[in-house]
Amino acid sequence: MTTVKVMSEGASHADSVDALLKRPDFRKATLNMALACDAVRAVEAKLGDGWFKTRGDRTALVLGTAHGELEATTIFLRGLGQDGTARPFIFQNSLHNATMGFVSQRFGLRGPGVTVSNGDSSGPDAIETGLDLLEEPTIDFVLVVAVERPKPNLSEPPLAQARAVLYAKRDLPPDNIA
Amino acid sequence: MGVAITGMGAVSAAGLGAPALWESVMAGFPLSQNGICRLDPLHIERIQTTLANLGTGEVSFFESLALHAIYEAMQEAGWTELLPTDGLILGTTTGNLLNWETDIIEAGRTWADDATAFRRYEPLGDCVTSLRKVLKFAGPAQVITTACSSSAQAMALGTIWLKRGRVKRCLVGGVEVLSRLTVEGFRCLQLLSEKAATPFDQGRNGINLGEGAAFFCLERQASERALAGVAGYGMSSDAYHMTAPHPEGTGCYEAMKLALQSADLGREDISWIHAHGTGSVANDVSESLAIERLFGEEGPWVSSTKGVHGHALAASGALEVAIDISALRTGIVPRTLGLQSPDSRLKVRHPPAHLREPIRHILKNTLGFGGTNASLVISHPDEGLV
Repeated sequence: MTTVKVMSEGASHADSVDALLKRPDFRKATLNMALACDAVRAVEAKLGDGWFKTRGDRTALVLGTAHGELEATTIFLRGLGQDGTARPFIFQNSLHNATMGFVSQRFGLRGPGVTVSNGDSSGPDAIETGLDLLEEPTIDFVLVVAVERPKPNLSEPPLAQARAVLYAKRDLPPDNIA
Repeated sequence: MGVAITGMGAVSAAGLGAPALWESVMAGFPLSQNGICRLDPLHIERIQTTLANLGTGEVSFFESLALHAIYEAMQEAGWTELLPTDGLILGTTTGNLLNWETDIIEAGRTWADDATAFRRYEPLGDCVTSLRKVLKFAGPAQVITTACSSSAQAMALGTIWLKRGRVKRCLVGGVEVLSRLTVEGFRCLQLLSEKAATPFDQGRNGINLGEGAAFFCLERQASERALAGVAGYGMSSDAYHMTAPHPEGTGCYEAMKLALQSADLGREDISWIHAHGTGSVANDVSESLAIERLFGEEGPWVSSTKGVHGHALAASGALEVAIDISALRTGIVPRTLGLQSPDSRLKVRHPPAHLREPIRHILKNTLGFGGTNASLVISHPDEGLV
């Protein structure tokens, strides 16, 4: 079994992404996408700008979420019901793995990308899946992101947040890490 | 070293059972109506009767498709029950959405409303919870929701679970039920063809959507009972676009390369590439360029079967692996239905007809929204890889 170490961690919550969501490149982003990117940015900030870009081929991304892009899904469906309109970018944002695709694009992560959804276990399951992938010979790093925007009626006040952890193989040669 | 597939089950627009799917591919008739391949109401009735006789109790449409395919697979594998040391991994994109989308579309509810159907069916994780209950299964279970690569990823992760010794046996597969969201979503992206899809053809007009479920029993040491083997897998991300594949197929190339590497096979070992082949221009170009780059112009046969059964999204990888196993059994490489004038930009070898020839290893590709790619090597059981 491969031994692993935590390289960096980051977190984000709804209040901290207001400015991010106003940026032109986040115009079509969901709250989950902004939260996840903000948490991953915090992970990268501890390692150096562009750290992921140069290691994207060897980095897997695993995202865990229980409800995924539920808000986008319901907006799309209400559009269908109200006036029959179907908006392409809302459809693409409605998939549970939309956030994973968005994060991989922004940070240049080209290794395996997996989204898992298993209720309250989504985060732990994402870690477990990430550690499984880290045992693959072609993977040196795994970025695990848990993101959730709970339904308003299930959490009062609703607490939208993301957390990201970067794991690495413990025995990686220093050149691979630096 | 791969793992053995000892049982398979499938339900689709082609009918009940994995053999029905293969017969439809061989018959070469599109199952789509106005671009949609739905399950036949008579088959749905038969599924419900079968499950009622098995005493499953009330289950959703999604669960009924899953259970029918699971029971078929377990019966073939000789599994009478699932044990706590077994695993279950399923891939889906929308889960039980069919059971609650009407609440939003027609009743105008919002995501904040606490409608019963919504609460019961919305969380994707509950898909596996309900299956666990019916199957009386207490082992580890996982829902993978990585768009159209979901069930191929489920098979790859099941293989990993077995190789790492996390489980002794693993049930893996995918389920997809057509919903208004899916149909109208693909329509608004202008990807949906109302005619039968003709992947790789210069006259192609888009994709057909499908639905269904396919499951497989995976075992580590069961070579004498193996239908086939999962000899290798490769997964990658394009990091390029939310819906379109990378125009040069870089992610697909990487996934195929990793799958061959993982199976310890060379390019010359692959007899057939069962393409993702949706029938969209972007997919055809991207995937073909990736294949040409890895295999050259004289590579293995390349064809798609989605013109027959449609694109069942998260379930597509699993449904098409069921076709692969039948191809290995019969030694027939299927042609691409409706391919008459191949797009001249695509430098891959299209089988001109169903071809009878020895098949040792098949490369199955899946490409999904979000830029996710997964490739599997499905091998003949005599290859000694399992």
